[in-house]
Amino acid sequence: MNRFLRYLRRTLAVVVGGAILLFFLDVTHTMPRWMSALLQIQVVPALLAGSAAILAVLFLVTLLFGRVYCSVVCPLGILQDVILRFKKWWLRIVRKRKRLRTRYARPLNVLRYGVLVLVGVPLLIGLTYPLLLLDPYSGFGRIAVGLFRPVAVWINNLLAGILNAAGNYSLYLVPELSVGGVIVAFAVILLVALIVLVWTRERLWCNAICPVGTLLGLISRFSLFRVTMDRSKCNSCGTCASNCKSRCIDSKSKTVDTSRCVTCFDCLERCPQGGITYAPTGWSRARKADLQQMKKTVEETVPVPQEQKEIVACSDLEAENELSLTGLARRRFLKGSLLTLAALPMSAALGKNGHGRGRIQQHRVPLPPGAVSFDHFMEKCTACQLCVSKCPTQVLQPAFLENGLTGMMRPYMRFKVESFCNFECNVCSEVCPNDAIIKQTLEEKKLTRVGVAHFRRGHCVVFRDHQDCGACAEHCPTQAVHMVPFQDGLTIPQVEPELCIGCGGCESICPVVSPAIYVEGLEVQEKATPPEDQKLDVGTIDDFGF
Amino acid sequence: MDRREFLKAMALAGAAAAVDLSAASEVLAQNGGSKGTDLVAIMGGEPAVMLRRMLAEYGGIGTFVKKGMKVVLKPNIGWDRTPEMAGNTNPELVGEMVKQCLAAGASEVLVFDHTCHNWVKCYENSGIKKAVEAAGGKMVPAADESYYVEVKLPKGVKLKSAKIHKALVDCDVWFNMPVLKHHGGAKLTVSMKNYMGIVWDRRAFHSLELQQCIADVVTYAKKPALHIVDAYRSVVKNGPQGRSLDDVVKLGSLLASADPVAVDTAALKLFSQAKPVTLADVSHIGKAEALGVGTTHLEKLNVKRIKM
Repeated sequence: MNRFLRYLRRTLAVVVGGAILLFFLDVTHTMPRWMSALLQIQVVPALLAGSAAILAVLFLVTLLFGRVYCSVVCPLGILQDVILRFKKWWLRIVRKRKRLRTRYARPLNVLRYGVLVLVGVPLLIGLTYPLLLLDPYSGFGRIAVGLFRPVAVWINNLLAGILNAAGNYSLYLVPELSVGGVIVAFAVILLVALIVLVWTRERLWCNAICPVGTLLGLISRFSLFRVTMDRSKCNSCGTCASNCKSRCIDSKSKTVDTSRCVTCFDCLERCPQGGITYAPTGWSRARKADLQQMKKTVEETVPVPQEQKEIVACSDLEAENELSLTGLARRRFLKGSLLTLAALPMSAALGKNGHGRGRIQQHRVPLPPGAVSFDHFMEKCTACQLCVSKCPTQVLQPAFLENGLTGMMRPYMRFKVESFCNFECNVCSEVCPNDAIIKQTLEEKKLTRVGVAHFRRGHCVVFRDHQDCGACAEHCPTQAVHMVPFQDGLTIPQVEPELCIGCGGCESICPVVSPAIYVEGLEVQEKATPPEDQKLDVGTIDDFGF
Repeated sequence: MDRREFLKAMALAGAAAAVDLSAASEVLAQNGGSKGTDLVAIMGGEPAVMLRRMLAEYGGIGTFVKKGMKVVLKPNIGWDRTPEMAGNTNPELVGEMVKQCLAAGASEVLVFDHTCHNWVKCYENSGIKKAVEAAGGKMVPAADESYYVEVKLPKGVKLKSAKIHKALVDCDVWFNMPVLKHHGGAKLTVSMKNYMGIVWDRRAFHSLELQQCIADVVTYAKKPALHIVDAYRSVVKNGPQGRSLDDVVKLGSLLASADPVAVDTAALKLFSQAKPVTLADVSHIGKAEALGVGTTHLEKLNVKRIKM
């Protein structure tokens, strides 16, 4: 049974984690869209999308079975287990059969609840940025898209190159996604931090920093099924505690801190006495006795100020832990502040027109169709980069400062050659698990105006060089941009703003370096007027005409 | 070309086939049709039926495709549009052409277009990928510069060279398969405008001088065996994409010729019955004629007009 539980946990983690990773790395867009369901059941996306039912199920599962979420649903949790697996291999192979040995650590309550408050309180007033930085799902997304996806593209293109040369076109070359330095930088910081933490303190991230872990810990504290120590069998040998990646088993007081247990089941098989089980003991009377015992232990161990001094003085390992972590948090905070300070003058210098194509007086970059408004999008998006990796034309790109500081890492539309919003596509709306890009049918999306095209006659090749062009009108799906008579049989573009949806087809194809037509983004997205067409009455044509 | 000449050509082709298949194809391609037919116009059938009839007029697909040849078809797949919207070449027509080429013994039939919309969606939603693969052909990607090779265009006025898709450069014989449509920029898009999908840097056309560049690229030395113009459904306004079914008119026709200028002229006249457009409007036709690519004088050609 114990072994079964562990295999079940591992199997589920491999399946779920693997599927989520594949969904992010799907460079040829062949994965089915329903796989985004795996992302909709993540806590933060469900919270931001307002999916009460999903949250209720997640909380209920946690209340019944503990933090299984952290072991088999959360991709960042699974990633940490993978890193830990590497460490175990390293110990076994390089360090000659050494085993991973952990020891009990007290909870870092100030840190974990502090982070929860720092993330939660701003959220109540609609500030999502602290959550964006620490949400495990979005963090995983940025690692997947910023660091793993380029590798996937490279492998795909290598294979495609070989196959295509041999006349097989089942794979094809994929343009490298230039997700900008900012995503790569944040992904590297997070991944390095995770590797360091996992290597030294296993799942400490989940129990000290991750706001989702802390939130679920508040519930799993009262879970029905839990890792339970049989006091009559336990001889405090400490084997369980040395196999606990949450460092939450105290073999001396014979207690398990269920708020930190991620239900990995690693301890169960290891107990030489068979004294640890995963059992529905959480709500029983025996548990109450346990609670009292725990309370006593806590009272004994919670240090009064004087004792704290002593602990620091004798450099207790646990205390060192806590100290280095606070140090880490402080450093992170300082780094963040410095980054912000450095960014301010840059953003001031750039203004709001740091744009992809030439110098144009654009004041606002367009957001993805369905982003509703600047405010809605900034409140809901946690910059997981899923839409960026799914966008077939790669018009969605993470912003640096194009949308101000709060827009950093969140996607916007960057028009360049062959990168514009595909009229017959609503994939971003279908996959966004946060509803930052709300669900829209294709028909609704085709009438969602994200910006309006502005024509600069003086720059147009028809006006300037007296030549036919019309590339903009050719690319305009609603014919908001269309050609009207100019001179000498030439035609010149004209914009009907009420038909324009701001897809950027015109801007992306304009042959002029500083485009003669460009899209100005809207703060609040609108509904465009549907084009009214009349059937051309031509009767029946039954002659060739020549 | 009379029968004797034709037989001579066939004998020559047979001899050449033993030595070099591509040489044979060139001889045949240069000679165009087999019965002195310059242009075939068919009206009143379904796309696949009209295609078979057209090929029969030229003496069958075997006139152009010999055993073991690598064939390329270049339809218009530029837009993420369904077949009814007529933004792309009719998928039934392309599918049937693949079938014909394979039946004639082609070693492979490759189909591509450098699309305007995202190519994966274009190939899919145009119905062309499905039709081609069902018939045994292969869709080739064209959305990466590495698929193209630089080719000189010594006869070009503005465009002196272009990067052309390798599949086309390497094949033994190719067919240009445009759809007849209104076009906001070039006024009308038929066979010559369809060449823009064999080149990589399309934007250069627009900045150099669109109409001249279209004429220039058609001077590319490797001519298609036939320009097969799909005029079954036609976008007559809001082209080249069309925005609704109201933009589409059923012309129910098919035109084919080895002369791009002639076939575009004929297509223009057919189209003008639905929506008037003049040769002066579509100036790349005249510019191509000036470069000696073909003739606008249909009256001097042997034109077969068939109503089914």
